[in-house]
Parts: sequence; structure tokens; C-alpha cells
Amino acid sequence: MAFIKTKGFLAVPLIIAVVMFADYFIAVKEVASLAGILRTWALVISSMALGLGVVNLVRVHGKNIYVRKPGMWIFSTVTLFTFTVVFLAGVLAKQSDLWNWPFQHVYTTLQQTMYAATGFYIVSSAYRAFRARNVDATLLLISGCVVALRNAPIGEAIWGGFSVLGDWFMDVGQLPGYRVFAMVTGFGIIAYSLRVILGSERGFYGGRRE
Amino acid sequence: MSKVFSKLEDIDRRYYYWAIFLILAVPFIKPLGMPISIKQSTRDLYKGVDQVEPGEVVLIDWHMSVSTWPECLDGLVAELKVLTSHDVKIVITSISVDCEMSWNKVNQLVPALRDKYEYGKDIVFLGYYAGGEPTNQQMAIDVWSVFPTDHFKTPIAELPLMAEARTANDYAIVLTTGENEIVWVNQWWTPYGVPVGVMGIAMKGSALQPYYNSGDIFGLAVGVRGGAEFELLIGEPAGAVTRMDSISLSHLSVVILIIIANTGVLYNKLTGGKK
Repeated sequence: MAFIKTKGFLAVPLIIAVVMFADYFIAVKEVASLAGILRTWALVISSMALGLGVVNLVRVHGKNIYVRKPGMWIFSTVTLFTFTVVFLAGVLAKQSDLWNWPFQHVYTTLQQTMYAATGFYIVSSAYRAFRARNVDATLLLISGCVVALRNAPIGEAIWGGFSVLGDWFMDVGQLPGYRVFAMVTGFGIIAYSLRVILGSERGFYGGRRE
Repeated sequence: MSKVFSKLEDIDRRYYYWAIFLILAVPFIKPLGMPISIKQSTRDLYKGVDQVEPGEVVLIDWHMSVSTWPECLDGLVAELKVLTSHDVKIVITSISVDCEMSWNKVNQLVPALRDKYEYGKDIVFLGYYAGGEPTNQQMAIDVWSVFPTDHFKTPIAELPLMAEARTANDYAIVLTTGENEIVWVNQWWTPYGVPVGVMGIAMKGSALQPYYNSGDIFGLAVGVRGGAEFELLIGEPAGAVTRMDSISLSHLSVVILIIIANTGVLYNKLTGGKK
């Protein structure tokens, strides 16, 4: 038992990695079947994570209400009340008006309002942040304005060059940066995965890093 | 004079919030009807969707909650209009918990889904799935193992369409809406060669461009503009085309505000005023 606790669990990611690699590179029916089981486990585990999220939600907000945390407990009460109503509606009255009403008349409108409101904050932040304080900032704001006008039909109506210049900024200016970012991320994932597989990444197990 | 420029540099946000609100209202009262040019990436998406043969199966994945409707729904509806006009069979999955709302909405907006398509035979709504990329990988091998039932709890074996749409090789193309595109490229395009088309959110346009340029995504339309371009391509201008006027005015307003703010900055710099 002690061995499993200290060393044995380190083999779990290694075994999974070997199976998944073998499934990808070698066409063996038994390995494919095992890999399929592991992928289904991943699906089950992530579904369990949703349940864990519910437990955590109740625990954190329940504690806020219990200790009457200033400035928080009222919101926590609303959260838990909403959760309870929607949960019960889902369990007891799926496909009924009781289930659909909160979604159609509360959730939808709140989501769309929140999303629309971000437009105003973007305007505000653009107004405050885009200042030509030095050469770099000036270049950033010029390219930002050109790309904004390139994306809107009114830009092309004002001057056809906005489209050409905007495309140049996008294709020549930002695309190589994104490619580099994507490739570096890929290498980073490989490096991290190797550390996990080899048991060097202890944070993965909830412990300390070596 | 310097006071005026200093004020320009720091206008109370309430004023421009009102200005933006009023400016955005204009096109809804009187549409401007600005011409919209169509990008090659949207043409390629349309071409890919248009080329699917009758009877072939298309998988559509929604990473689209109701908050994303203004950006992606019109483009999705336009795609569905093309697919239904070709009698293409459709399987829908989603990683958004409110996908049922989107399902109800597209059924309202695409008449052929109600009038022409028979549920289970021509279209299936599999609903929400958890698990991220491993789930997409498993779906490529066996959709049934991930979805034992559809969204309405009908056993998958009782849906005739799913008998012919069980593995990645059974699908002609994958269309994604919102986000979650790259997992389909990784798990369906690279190993199985199922082409992936994207109707994404505007914010992801830059990140997806390299995948389009490399051919990993056969077509790409992002944001309201992508939807508007697609609507124009199918010859049915609708919600997205209407919204493009607001996009035009909002973008222009932002640029004007930036110019106003920088007039103050420039004046103060030239006169050695506030830093």
C-alpha cells in the first residue's frame, strides 16, 4: 500500500501515455479497445467534475451564508436559491414551462445583456488606453484603428485602402506572431506532458514540485 | 484652449456611453445599407458547405451559448439553409449547457428543419457532451459510445441516421460554431481527413487564420461580418447584414474617440502641458 501511495501512482500517467501513443501509431485491436476505455473514463471523470463543482458551489456559498460574510452572504443566498430552483425544475419538470421559463426569460436576457455591455467597456478602454505617448504606442493605435476600419464596411466606404492596409497588418504583421505562439504552445505542452509522464511534475498530483 | 484639450483627453465615460448607445440605435431605426465585401475565407466556407452532396452527413458542433447568438447564430442559420436545401443529413453536438435553447431557436429560424426534415432520419440533436478533446477523439472512433442516447433520451440505436453516422469516416465535413475548432482539426481532420469549416466568434479570427492559411480549416467566417458575408453568398440577407450597420458605426465611433483623446495628448505634448 505504501508503495502505491509513494511510487505506484507515478506509473499511472506513464501507462496511459504508452497506451495512447500505441493506439495512435500501431493498429492493434486490443490496444485500440483499451484506449477507447480510457477515453470513456476521461468523459466520465469530467462529468464527475461537474458534480464536484456543484458540491464546491454549495460548500463555498453555504459557508458564506452560515458566517454571514459581509458583502457576500446576500449574493451567496441568491446563488444557492437560484441553483436550487433550477436544479429542482430540471429534475422534476424537464421540458415543462417551469424548466424553460428561467432559461428563456432570465438566463438568455442576462447573458445577452452582459455580452452587449462589454461593448461599452471596450469603447471606454480603447478611449483611455490608446494614447500616442511614444512611438510604439502610436504604431499600435494606428494599426488598431486601421484594422477596426478594415473590419467594418464603413472603413471601405471611406477609403478602399483601409482594407488593403488592414489585410497587410493582419497577414504580415500579426500572423507570424500567432504562428510562433501556436508552435511554442505546442512545444510547451509536449514538455509538460513529458514531465507528467516521467513523474517530475508533482503539482499534477496535488503535491509539491520537485 | 489648453483646458479644452485637457478635457478632450479625459471625457467622462457616461457621455460616450450615451453617444455610443444613440449611435448604435440609428441603423435599427434607419438602416444604412453599407456594401459589404466578401472575404475569400468566407467564400471557401460557403463552397465547402455548398459542395456537400444530398444524403451525406454533416456534423455541426456548437460552442455557442445564447450570449453568442448575436455573433454566430445568423451565420449558423445561413449554413443550415444551404445544407437543408441540399437534403444533407445533419448531426448536432454541443459543449454549451444551454444548447437546447439554440436547438429551439434554429428550428424557429430554419423552416426546412420543421417542414422537410424528419427527426431521427434526417437530423439528430445529440446535445451536450463533457470531457473535452478525448471525447472528440472517441467520437471519431464511435459516436455511440459517447452518446448512448440523443438529447431527448431516445436510445441512439433507435435513430436511423445514427446507424450511418457512427464514426468520423461516415461524415462529409464538420462545421463548428463559436469556438472549439482546433480539437476537431486535431482529432477529425488530421487523423481521418474530415474537413473542418468554422463559423467563429470575431475574437478568434486572428488565432484561426494560420489554420485557414495552412489548409487545416477549409473555410473561415468570423463574427457578425462572417455571418453577413455568408448571408449575402446565399442571397438571403438577414439579421447579420442588418447588424453590420451597427458594427460600422460603432467601429467608426471608437476610432473617432481615439482621435479625440489623442488630440488632447498631442496638444499637451506640443505645448509641454500635462504629462
